[in-house]
Amino acid sequence: MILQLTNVSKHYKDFSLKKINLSLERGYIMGFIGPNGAGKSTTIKLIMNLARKDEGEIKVFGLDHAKHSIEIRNKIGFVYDENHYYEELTAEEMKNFIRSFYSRWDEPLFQRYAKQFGLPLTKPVKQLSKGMKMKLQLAVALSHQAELLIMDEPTSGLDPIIRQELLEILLSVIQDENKSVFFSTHITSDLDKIADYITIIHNGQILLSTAKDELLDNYGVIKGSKDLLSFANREHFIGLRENRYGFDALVENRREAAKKYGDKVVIEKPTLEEILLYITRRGAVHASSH
Amino acid sequence: MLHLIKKDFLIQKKSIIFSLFIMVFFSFTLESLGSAALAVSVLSICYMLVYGAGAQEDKTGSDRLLISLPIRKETIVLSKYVSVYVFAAYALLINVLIRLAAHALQIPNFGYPITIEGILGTVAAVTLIFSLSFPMIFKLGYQKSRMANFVLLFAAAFGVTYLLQQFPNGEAPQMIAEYETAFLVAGLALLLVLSFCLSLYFYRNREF
Repeated sequence: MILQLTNVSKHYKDFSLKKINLSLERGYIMGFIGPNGAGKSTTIKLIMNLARKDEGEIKVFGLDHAKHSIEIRNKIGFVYDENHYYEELTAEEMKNFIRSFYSRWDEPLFQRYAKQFGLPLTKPVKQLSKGMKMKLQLAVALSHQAELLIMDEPTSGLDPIIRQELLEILLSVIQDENKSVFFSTHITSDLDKIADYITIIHNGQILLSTAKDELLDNYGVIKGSKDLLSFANREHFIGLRENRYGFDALVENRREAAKKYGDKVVIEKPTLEEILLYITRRGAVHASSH
Repeated sequence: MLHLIKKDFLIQKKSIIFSLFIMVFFSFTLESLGSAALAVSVLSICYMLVYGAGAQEDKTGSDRLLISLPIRKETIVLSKYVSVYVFAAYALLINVLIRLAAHALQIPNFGYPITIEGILGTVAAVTLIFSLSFPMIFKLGYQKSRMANFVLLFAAAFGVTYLLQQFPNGEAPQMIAEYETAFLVAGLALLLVLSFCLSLYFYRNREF
């Protein structure tokens, strides 16, 4: 495993991350999704040692993330949602500052990315657009032979063209089977094409972590009339919503549901966004009932 | 470490130029402080540059960047302490150059005295002030500790001026050198080491 979190907890005054577990193998992209405030950034802060966990174990490259932090960070590329680069430095000065800390910096590769992304290296960081700042972060993250890319909402606030560009770059990065990407976002459409695994977090709890194809192949959105609902079968419907005309919900196995309810219901293949909506709705019900 | 210190200069190109004008201005205006003028000038420049770098880092949340890079927290904290002495050396050098320029241009009665004792006193004042202020900075961040450190700087500036004015003609450094130099140096060194350990403790326990 390139990344493994076991029973990791972190408690704040108004929010807690509760015993979360997740793992990512080499060569895959994991989409880490959840609504705003679900715990995505907190999880990334814990992995990156920006905050201290209260309980549990975090292993990166099979090593304890706190004891081997220098060795680990040398092999991690990171892209954050906000710019943390020094605004007064030019992109070139910023790159030179960062490269001095990595033992495996690849300057020709950086220059290639800078050219590909059209980065104006002589401009101060403060004069770069949000998209350019993100591309600069990405070029830096990709130029020191990182084996794990950690991206915290890299696409938030970017226009669709730049978002698409970023996703294409990630797809090409992952051609190297030695690399993995941990990608947090609340924009699920970013993950439709690129993610291999999906982990959903809500209210500080992992609600689901599985292969994306398995998720999209098995789950289904079911719609039918209310007279089909009984006390016994309500349990099988995830994020059940009732209205005057009937109900809609998510089911874990749409083939089984189709067999059981036949043509009395309509069952559709869900999108990631629908899965997130239904699952977090159930999560919200769980959270409020405790 | 060198890159972290170099970065503190690079992110303040405008402030560095501005500091040159301030030091020229001080040469005209601090003359009446006598031997304390050099310490006040250097301390003010150090304060301006240390807080200038810190304010920019606070604004962009650059600690998140530094912690995410393969840099030890000890190195980050130590670089801030070393930066102060580099800023002080820069300010001392410019003060000396201004003095030499005034001498070369034969400007009479220009500026304040720059003596070895004055330079040593300045280094001691810089050590004292930043040994006290850095733990607050590493605990609270630059913005939140700004007011407390501002008060500290003014208290120190007036304190140093008052003390040195009690001993005209540079007698004070001489007296201290005769009786208590070793004790003072050891005390300041101990304070510096304690300050570093405390800053490191706060920084290690801080969350970003």
